[in-house]
Amino acid sequence: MTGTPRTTASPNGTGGAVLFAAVVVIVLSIVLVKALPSPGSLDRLPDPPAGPDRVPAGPAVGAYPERCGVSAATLARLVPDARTAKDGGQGTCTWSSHRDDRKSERHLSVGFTLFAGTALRPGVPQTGRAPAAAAMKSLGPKWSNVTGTAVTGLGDEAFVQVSPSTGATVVMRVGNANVTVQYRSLFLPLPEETARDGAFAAASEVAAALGTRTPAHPAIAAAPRPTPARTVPDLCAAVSERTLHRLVEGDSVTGEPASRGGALAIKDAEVSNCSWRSMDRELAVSAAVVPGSGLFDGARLATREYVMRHADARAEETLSVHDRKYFRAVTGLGDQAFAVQVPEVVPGEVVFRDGNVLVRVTYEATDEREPLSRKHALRGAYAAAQEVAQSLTTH
Amino acid sequence: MPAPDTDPESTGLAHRLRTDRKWRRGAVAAALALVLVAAAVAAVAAQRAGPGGISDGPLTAAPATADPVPAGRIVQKVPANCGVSKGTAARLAPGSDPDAEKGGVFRAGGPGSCMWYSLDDGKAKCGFCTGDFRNERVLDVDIALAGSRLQSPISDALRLMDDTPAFARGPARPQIVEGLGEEATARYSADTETEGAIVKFRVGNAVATIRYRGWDAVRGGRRTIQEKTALDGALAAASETAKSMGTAARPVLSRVKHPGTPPVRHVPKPCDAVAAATVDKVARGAYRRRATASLLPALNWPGTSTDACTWKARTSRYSGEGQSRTLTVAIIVEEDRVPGLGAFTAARRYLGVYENMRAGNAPGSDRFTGFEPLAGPGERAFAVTRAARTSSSGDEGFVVFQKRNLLVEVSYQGADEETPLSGNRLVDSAYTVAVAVERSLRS
Repeated sequence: MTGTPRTTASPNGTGGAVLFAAVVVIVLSIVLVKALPSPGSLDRLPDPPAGPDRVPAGPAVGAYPERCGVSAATLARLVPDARTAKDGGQGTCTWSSHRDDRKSERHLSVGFTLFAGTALRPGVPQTGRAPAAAAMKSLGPKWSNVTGTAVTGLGDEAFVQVSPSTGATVVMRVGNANVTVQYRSLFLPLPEETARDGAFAAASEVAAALGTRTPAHPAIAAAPRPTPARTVPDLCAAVSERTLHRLVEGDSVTGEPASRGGALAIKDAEVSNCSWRSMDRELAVSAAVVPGSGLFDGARLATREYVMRHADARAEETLSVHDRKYFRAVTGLGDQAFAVQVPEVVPGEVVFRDGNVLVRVTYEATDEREPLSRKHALRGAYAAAQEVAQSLTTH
Repeated sequence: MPAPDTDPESTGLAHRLRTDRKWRRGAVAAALALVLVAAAVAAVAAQRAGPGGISDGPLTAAPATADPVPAGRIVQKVPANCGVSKGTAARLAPGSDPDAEKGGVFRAGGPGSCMWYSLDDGKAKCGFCTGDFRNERVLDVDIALAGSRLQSPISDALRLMDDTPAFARGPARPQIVEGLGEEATARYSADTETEGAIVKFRVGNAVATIRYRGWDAVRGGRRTIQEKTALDGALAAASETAKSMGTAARPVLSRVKHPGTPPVRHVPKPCDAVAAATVDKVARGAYRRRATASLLPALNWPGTSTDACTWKARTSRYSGEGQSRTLTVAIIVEEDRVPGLGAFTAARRYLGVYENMRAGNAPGSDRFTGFEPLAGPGERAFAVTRAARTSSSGDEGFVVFQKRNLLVEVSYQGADEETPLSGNRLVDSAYTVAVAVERSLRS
């Protein structure tokens, strides 16, 4: 056999070698496919459509204005022969008329609280991260026993409380500054209109001193319209099986009407939640029906809640200068919406408002060590948000 | 039983590999491919899990040094009459007298709380005075001796000296006073609440507040004394108080906080302050989160900014299983609102924490052990270990240092299965990272 020509064995031998190499390649391909991440069905989902950001940022106030922003002329008009009890060094100005006669005695005070924003606590969806949102969160009536009325044309938002004992108290917000202006007489109560006009005049100058761009024209707003009763559909049924299968990748995953920390926390609101969790992914939806109050209707209050979250998401910073943050206003989803994702800080998140209902959708990896890509996190949250928005429309 | 097949054509792979060069080449190629694939898979696996442990170092041992901070002075007794001489009291509050309510002018107070009061240059003759007067002058001196069970007396006094955040946002911020005690400030306001000048200084655990106020009747109204009059008066009394307490007593208002140390110009985000290779030494394959400082005060005041980053490495997705390591870096920046003030503020905040750790005392229920001054990084540094808060959390090693206007805190803890890490390894890990953080700070 030693004399067997090589060529006689070649056809069979080559075929076997090719077969052997093919098997090796197939095995290698399987190994590589398993070892390397593969694009999932999330790639076929659309990105949230970006639109213009219509939520104003408002001025960033870092210091109290000189004399609390009240001009000498206005002070002279409101408080004759004024003595300065507090000059604003610690954020409060107080002037009292020096006259002894009870008829012309007047008091004006202006107090500021400036907000720098609060630190983010991982896993806790708190508002107030942005300075303006922190100010919004803290804005409230000065007096618990005096009815308030909404005011238009003054700062970013304002209301006034008037009573014989407290005079007129304007509470307003300008960017990250909450301001209280009180105008009164101690002995003889001022007529309501005199007290209110005096407080409005001082508050208008304070708003300008804090950087409000448009001139103030304070006026009493119309009474809030009653907020129609509304309910939220079953959130666990609001996201389709098809989408859930794509997002949480498990046939046996069922929604639980509970939250794992992602629920919306809004005072007096009726909140519904649902979350789906597989070994790899977690999707959570929270919806809040915001009721009206004596000052504002439900849609207005839901808008406030939305704006706070919008400002927080817009202000959120990345952990590293090398990270890329995603924040966009989103069109075509409720009345207003945004999408945000900050690597290792904020998961894929979509928040939208539909009338007086606020909805928050988050989509992230279950295992923190293996985070979702920004694209997948946002697309997943947006896909679920679209279906929740649809269910709100048809409910 | 069939006989074994001895036909060379049917002996299969072994025979072909022995006899056919193409088969041999194919086999070699396949083997090479297998080796390459195995290497690639191993590389991917290594990237994901890492070889061996998740904190294999190498670590740099934290270099202990002799304590460079002398023990703070503990004042136990306040000086008589708060250290203010009769002559100065008479000049600032004419007619005031040590006998209370004598002739409508009086001196009140007790140890550490002294007041001299003057109405109409001390010529008013009334008990409970009402009516029209020409002037009023009041000198108040209050000396507080800090002594808290919760923290060291020096740290407590430093806290007492802190101005409120509201002052820092006002149009007229406190001025810097040098040459008075260990630190001092002064401010003036004509409003009726302040009506003059307030000077504050600290020596050791004592904080003295000297207030000089007054008004003169002008055209039927009251005009607060002028800024110079008020500040000069308050500083004159303050220097006598300081002298009687045996500390610096030559006060000068300054626009610079000497020695005018410039701030660090480039401060990275905490997550960018440590290179990945350094993180891998102590927490390989970690993910990051935003965090907070533990020992350093988390102040959200104007002029102070705090940020922190934590790296968490785990070999299992479940807590309490496998290995876990947590590294945290916090950086506090004290802004230079006045030249040199940032570095000075950072140094006094550092001292507040240092004194507490040295005394083994701190606000809260945490217990600390192993306090040790370090030779670096930064201009001053120390290490300390916080005892486990719970049975499963484990000890936490800290290295804290100050560099110019920055305070940096690095902490480290971990566990292997259910056994928390302990001992020098915690501080050495924190130190290894702290050295890297300092390298990232460019001036």
